[in-house]
Amino acid sequence: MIMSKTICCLFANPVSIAAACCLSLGIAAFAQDAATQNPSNAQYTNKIEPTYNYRFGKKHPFAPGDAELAGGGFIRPGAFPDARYCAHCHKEAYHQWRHALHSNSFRDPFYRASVNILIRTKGIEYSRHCDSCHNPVAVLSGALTEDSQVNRGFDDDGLNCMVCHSIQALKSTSGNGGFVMGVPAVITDAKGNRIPGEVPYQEIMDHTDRHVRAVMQDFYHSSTFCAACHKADLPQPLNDFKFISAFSTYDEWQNSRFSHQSPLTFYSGPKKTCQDCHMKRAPNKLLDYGAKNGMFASHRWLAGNTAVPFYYGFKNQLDKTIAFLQSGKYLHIDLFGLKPANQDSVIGPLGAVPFRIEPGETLDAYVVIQNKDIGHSFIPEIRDLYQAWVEFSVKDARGKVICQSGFLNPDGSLDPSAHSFTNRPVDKDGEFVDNHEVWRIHSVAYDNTIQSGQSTLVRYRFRVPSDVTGPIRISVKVNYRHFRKSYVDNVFGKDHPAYPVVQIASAARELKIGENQPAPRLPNEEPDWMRWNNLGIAYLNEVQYGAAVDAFSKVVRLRPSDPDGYTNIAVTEIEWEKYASAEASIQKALSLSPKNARALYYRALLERRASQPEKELADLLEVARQYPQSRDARRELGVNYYRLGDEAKAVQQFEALQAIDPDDLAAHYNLSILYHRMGLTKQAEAQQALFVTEKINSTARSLSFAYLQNNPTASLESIPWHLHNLVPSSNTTNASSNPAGRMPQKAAQ
Amino acid sequence: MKCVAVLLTATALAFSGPAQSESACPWINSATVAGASDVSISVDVQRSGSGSTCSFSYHQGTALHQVRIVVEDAGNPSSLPLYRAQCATPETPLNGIGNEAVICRAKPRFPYAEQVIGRVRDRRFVVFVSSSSRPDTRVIADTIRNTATKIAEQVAGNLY
Repeated sequence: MIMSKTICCLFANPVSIAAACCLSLGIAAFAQDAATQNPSNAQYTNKIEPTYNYRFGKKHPFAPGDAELAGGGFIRPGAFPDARYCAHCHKEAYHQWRHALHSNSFRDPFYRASVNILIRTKGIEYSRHCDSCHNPVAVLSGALTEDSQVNRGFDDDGLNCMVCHSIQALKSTSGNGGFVMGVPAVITDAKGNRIPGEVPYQEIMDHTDRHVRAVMQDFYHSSTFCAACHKADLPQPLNDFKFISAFSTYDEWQNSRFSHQSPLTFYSGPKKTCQDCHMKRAPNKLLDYGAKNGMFASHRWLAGNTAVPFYYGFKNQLDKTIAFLQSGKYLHIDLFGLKPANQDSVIGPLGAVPFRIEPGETLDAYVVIQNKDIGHSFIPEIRDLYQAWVEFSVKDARGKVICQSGFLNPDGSLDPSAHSFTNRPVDKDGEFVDNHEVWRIHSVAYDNTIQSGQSTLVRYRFRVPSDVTGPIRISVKVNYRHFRKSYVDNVFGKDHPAYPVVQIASAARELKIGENQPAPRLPNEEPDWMRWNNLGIAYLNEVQYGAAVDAFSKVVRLRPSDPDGYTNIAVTEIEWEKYASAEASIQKALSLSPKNARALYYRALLERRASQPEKELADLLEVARQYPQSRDARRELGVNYYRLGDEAKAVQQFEALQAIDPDDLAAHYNLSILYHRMGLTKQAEAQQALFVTEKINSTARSLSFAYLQNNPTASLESIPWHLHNLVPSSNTTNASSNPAGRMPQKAAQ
Repeated sequence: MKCVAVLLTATALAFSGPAQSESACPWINSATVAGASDVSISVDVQRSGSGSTCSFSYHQGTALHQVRIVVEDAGNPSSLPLYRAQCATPETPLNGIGNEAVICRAKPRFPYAEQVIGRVRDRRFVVFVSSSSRPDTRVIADTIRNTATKIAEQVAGNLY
């Protein structure tokens, strides 16, 4: 094989040449090759080590990322069998993967534009943080050091087949590439030992069981596998500041109804893993021995990335991505109600109650947007670059626009006052951090994402024209673009085609001038109890406790046998510090469903306030029995045992909590104290250090204020309860100031 | 020889002022150019102003392979026609490399050469790959073309 590599690698075209070379050799040659391809082989490591930059210590060669190589040292890039080799038997997988984000994870210009800034400003060794997930072969082969002479021919394959299929263990759910890479092998010997590198295809066909043993692991089917890269933090060695959580898609899933691991969700539903949504099985069109009963798990990983397939011209991938985003179930828009600007009460749910509209009247439209069926937040990652926003318009009977928000300007930039599901990271000077230069982030000025299963309320104030006669039509859409135009401008300059805008959800309602009578439910409209429930959740998220209790009370009236409505009232009242009425609501919930874990959890919190630790313990134990992976139950049980003086059991709970979320602050804090008391000084110091670095820096928050002070539109968006005032300023009545489209913006649209 | 002269003129036009010689090409390393780390390869890097030219040459068996990479200010209007004049075949657009890129078979200095001309924002890059080995088979011609494309992608990636 060494001989054939020398011949084939120069102008390497592995499909036509290497495969032919490989097929001509027997298993004996590959057995010999196995020895030389062992990732721990000293020869390759010895070659890399002398000039390798160990900035983060010899014990952490791949820091600031968390990837690990079984056996240590470095691994030859060629030790990973080429994707085209796998394609021989897995054509469907190969063709899907080639167009998917995973295969383009390093080379795509949107990534390179950002990581190149890191390399140029801080040094290539820092890029190991990003490339642990974007280009693990580069990291593990020791290529990310100055003047590296590693052949980077693997760059355009990103996460190739044998990167994922060689991972032998997961380090934790902390992300940052927290996996353990084993010997890349497509087959094991009879004893289960991994045989490195490529082998003749016939060898695999003769021992498919050994092939499966080499390339599959049970945990590949779990969401924790995805956590290795779909959760990330910015560690101190990267930003020279402190730990900052970057994104936590895995945690969001773990806290969602889809995981069946959290009792605290607003809704329940079927269990779904990441793979259930992003690797759906479908009939395979091409030969693939991995298919089962003609169905193959998608290796397209359809999600939200439209820019990369658009850039590369992968039309099929783009079309499927758009279809995925538009499947209609992920978000739900409810034009819930109207509130005359000079009144306090909201008329709603629209369609279910009569109301009257007068010409010249100023109205607030209440739009509830629910993250209905996404197993993580909307938007889950890279919120500073992805762009999702609400397009709101009111038109008269002739289609003339009365007012609008969330439109695209002629140059493709977004109306700066649009309601968008984004965040604004800021640096040490309180300036917006552009280009995803995450190593400069010190604070986040605001974050308007919607968590899984939850809702947000967007309010628009508009004025009905005084001369209007026919009906008016209110339309609401949630649009999505990958990426915001200003970033695409930064990547390519301004001379690039317009990137796709995808409408994910929409709703519209026609309103008559004068009397409006109740009407049949619109297509896709939720039942009234759910509309009130979603409004209540949105109010709760926007710290409108009184309004939230009112909305949940409507739910209780419409669904008196459902304990969740009462629990929702209790949750709100606990946050509102109205504990007595919260207890009444929770008891009502438990009378309807005595073992309801969510209600028991909140009753335990009330029992803690009432100094009833034994009752609290009993309730929390029942919650943990039903939901052993509930981080909340483990945390509160730890606190409970701590207060009861049972330190051993407290430690047990906090350690269980850390196994679920290694970055839980309460676990760090309490374990540092408990370990210290137990004489475990080193462990105590480690937990203390983690607590100090992971605790949110209150001083950094002032940087957000500096940014918001200079950016009034962002400042308004940062307020949970805000109004988008679309009434021209001269006509404004009782309105908070937000003249649409007039605010100067830092280049972030 | 006429082709060589034209290309050298284009390079000279691109870089006014004294050139500085370096050993490491900022856009790609030798191993990636050669497709292997165990190939003996000579490298010359000339920098001038905001531009640079990296020249690689190496032998494989009896064949001599040469790769030249020019990166320059895309605002320089005079050099582009000279590069395009090197194309012996119509330019074929390359998807997914830079803002835009084209590939063509270059006028033969050696029996076979390919050239990619592309741009990333305000930077132009030209990748010229030649081999003294005769393209006896379509596979060899394709691999030279594939090599030029892969080198161009590496260069473009580092220019973002």
